[in-house]
Amino acid sequence: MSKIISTHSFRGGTGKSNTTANLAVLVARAGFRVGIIDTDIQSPGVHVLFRIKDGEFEYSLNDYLWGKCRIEQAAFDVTARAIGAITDDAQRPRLFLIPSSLNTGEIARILREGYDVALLNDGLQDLLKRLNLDYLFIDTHPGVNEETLLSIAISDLLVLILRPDQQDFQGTAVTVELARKLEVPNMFVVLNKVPPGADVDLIREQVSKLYRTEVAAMLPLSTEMVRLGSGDIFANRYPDHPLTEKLKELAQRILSI
Amino acid sequence: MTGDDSTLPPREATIQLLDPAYQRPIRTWKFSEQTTITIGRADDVDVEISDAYVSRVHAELAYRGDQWVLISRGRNGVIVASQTITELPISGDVMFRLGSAGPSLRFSTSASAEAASATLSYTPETNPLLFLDETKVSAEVDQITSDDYFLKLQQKAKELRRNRNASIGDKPV
Repeated sequence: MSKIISTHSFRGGTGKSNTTANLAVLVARAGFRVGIIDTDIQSPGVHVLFRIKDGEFEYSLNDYLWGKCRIEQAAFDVTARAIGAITDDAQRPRLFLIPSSLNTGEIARILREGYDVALLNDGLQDLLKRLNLDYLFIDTHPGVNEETLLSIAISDLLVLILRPDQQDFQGTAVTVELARKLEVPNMFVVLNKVPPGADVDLIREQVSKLYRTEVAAMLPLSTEMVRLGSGDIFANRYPDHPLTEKLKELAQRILSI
Repeated sequence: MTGDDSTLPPREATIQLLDPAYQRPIRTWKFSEQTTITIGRADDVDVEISDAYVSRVHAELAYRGDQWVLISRGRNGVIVASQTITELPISGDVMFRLGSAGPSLRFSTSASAEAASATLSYTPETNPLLFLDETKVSAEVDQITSDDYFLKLQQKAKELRRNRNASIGDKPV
């Protein structure tokens, strides 16, 4: 049975796309067919981590939403660049990215004209089926809008990513309650960019108590991650880094649901 | 009281007892020209905390040479960043807990506050203060959930998940 995992942050800059991309790679490496869809149409970014340049892909999510292509035509196979060469006929592992358009004109158009959220839902369902995915990660837009709520509603797992920051904390609490009302079967929180010297046990206890939700990981603020500047998948560049170890544990937690 | 070294600390030292839920200071003690600060449940310590999990003399801060050292004196230990310590030289500020179930305290000096105001990368707050305004959360949740779109989505959420898995099971690729 395939699973949809939505990653969401109330605010931007939490490291959501970076964490999502790393988790998708680690889950795929465990021997699965995985997709990542960048539904952050207003400010797409996941493609950067896979070093995909503008013009390298023919279709994007925007084209699907405008009826120009089928959703699977917008899927870019990133297996070789993110996991390594596998034989052509190997079904697993596989990793596909469905990017949003990088063209500012196209971004402006979709913001101006809007799009049919129901069509996005159909696209997500078709994607799972046509690419025979085991896991689909939805990298959502920060904040709460129709598209975000839809992504949450259809998820088997909602991963909420926040920094130990008051603004993130207050806003994320709203999403936690909305997810409860939508009866999302699994939900957990990931605290990212935890500063050195912080009492991790205390923060974990505080967040889990106030949200009444599992804190699945506390990811430390990493100088290497900042230096990498989204130029690569961190887990690939630093396979033995303590942060990678924590990301691997988180990937295992996702595989256990 | 005297420490292991006769040099007096150049700055004022502050100890704050923190609220367990929100990590806000709920009581503050200030010391100047004192080289030893004792913390515990006993009447004759400098920082007296009435808590069953706190030993009579639980911890001590001693100014040695040119820096403060945090020393565990009780049976339940002193915890800093999830680690139980016996002695810890302090540079800047430190947040510590008296035993795994005991209260949290923050030690700071006026020197670290000066450094924080002059250095971009340095912060005297070792733990962010997380506070949840539950009234505001409820108001925002009510506003979103009363919208037609949300109500429809709420009705369809289960169905959407069920249909997806059913359709995949029916039509393997």
